[in-house]
Amino acid sequence: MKISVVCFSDELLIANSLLSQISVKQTENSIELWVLGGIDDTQKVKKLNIQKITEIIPSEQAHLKEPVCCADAVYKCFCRHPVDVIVLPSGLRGDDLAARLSVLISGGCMLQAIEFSCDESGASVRKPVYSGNLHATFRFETLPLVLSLIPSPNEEKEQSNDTPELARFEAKTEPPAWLTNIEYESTENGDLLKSSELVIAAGRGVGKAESFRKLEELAEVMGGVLGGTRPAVYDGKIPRERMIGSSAAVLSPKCSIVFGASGAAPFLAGVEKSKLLIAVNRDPNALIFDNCDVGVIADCNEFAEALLQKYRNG
Amino acid sequence: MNILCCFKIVSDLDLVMERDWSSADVSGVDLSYVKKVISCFDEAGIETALRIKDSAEKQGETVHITAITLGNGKYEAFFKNLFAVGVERILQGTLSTERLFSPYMLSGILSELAGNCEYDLVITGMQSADGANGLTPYFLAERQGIPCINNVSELQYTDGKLKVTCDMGNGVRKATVHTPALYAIGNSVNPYLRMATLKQKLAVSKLSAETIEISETSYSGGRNAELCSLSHEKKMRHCVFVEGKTCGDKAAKLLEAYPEVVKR
Repeated sequence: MKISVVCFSDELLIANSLLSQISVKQTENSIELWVLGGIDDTQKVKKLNIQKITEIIPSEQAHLKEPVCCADAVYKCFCRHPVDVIVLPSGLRGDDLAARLSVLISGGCMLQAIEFSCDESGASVRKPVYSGNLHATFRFETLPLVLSLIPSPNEEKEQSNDTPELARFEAKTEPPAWLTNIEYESTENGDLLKSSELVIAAGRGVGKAESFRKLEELAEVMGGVLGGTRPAVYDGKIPRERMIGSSAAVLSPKCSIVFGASGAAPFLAGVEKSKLLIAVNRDPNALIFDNCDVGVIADCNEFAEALLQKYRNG
Repeated sequence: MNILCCFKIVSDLDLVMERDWSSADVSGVDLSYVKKVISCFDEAGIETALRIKDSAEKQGETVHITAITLGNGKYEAFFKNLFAVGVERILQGTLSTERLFSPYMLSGILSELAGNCEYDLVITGMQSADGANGLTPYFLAERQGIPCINNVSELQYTDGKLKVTCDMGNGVRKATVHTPALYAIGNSVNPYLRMATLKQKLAVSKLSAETIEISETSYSGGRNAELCSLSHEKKMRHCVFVEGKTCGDKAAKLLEAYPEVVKR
């Protein structure tokens, strides 16, 4: 069984986490890493638990921003070095690339998986369905298979001392002719949310806009970042790039404090990997209290103000 | 301009009782009592189509919207509402059983339905909450031989051109599209379907959806995976409540109990 983990150069540590999540019940197997865009810092390579790394270089650096070009570059590498399974880190970018690749290689596909294992007769994939309320296990008897796997940051293996073998694959890519006037804008807020150790998540139950502003202030004094549930974003109270949930940012901070969210499964999928999950809600029967470590039954605005006072008073 | 919208009627999963999730097995879960809704991303897709229609008609272009859906349910109330807000034709493909976890098969059936329609663009939701495969748009675009543009947050019709904005994970991409394409709507800037007025509803009271029987066997096998198990995961967290008479008391106790994480 040949498996390739594919990632962008800014996802090397995430890819390392994916490597530890793959279970191969077979003696004859190999796992390698394909890095789109190449590795800019060779020091990073030493942190990876992998024996072989292939840098996939598109015709132009700008093509790395275009999903069609990225899929084409990986597909060309696959044609030259066929593998049985391609694994990508799940997220908007990884899911899209996985789906495009499966179409190109006419293979099976599964997005947003949480577990993957394979043996001589095929591959098994587990993933959340029904808004995360159930987990389904699927079996693929026919390969190749492309899947996106939700990274589990707590499952990193010990680092290897071996320096991996490094190869380079240059892929001729062209941007799609059916798209013109292309503009790319980076959204730093989304990155901030994913890298923050403390996340304050606001739901519709927070209420007025001024209460959301108070939470923004609280996040700032606590050294965290404010995000929000889908309804809070759709109400215009939180910027879209700071949406938390299964179809937006899936986070794994040290601590999440959730204000005024009922605890719907799609939102919980975004914060359930928090090391400590604290919920604040005035409704003692709110579903969120069945899924958190610490509960505070209180009015969100009043409790946020109380926390702010504590910080202001040192 | 002809727009083809794909939509799905799903159970409102927020209303499902915990005990029903617990009793789920590979045969499925009992959702018969749960209120139905249009899948959230599909709802945003239909609203996107209606907004394109509004813009194009202001610019002197006629737009026809056809909507297709799969399922055996009696969805007349949904159909009437869609007719009232501006959808002109609805096709319902009937299935022998629900095919939640077979995106390749579903795309084949949708593609067959799409064969009954003329279109310049196809709009779908990026995924439904129940099956959550997220693949049907890609497979449908592949079968139709058109590009797939996913995670679309906004689609605007300006000066005879379609301008698309997509979420890319690490930013957004804005571009002009020059070909028939499939647009899979994600976290849209216009997520909710507009309300129909009573006058609009009365005006379409005689319209109904066309029903088409589909032979599913022609689309089985291939890239579809086999569902082996369906299970409800037990919650791993046990909530400890912070007690106190006032919010100030609770805030103090919280900071005292969890200083290493909360206090910075």
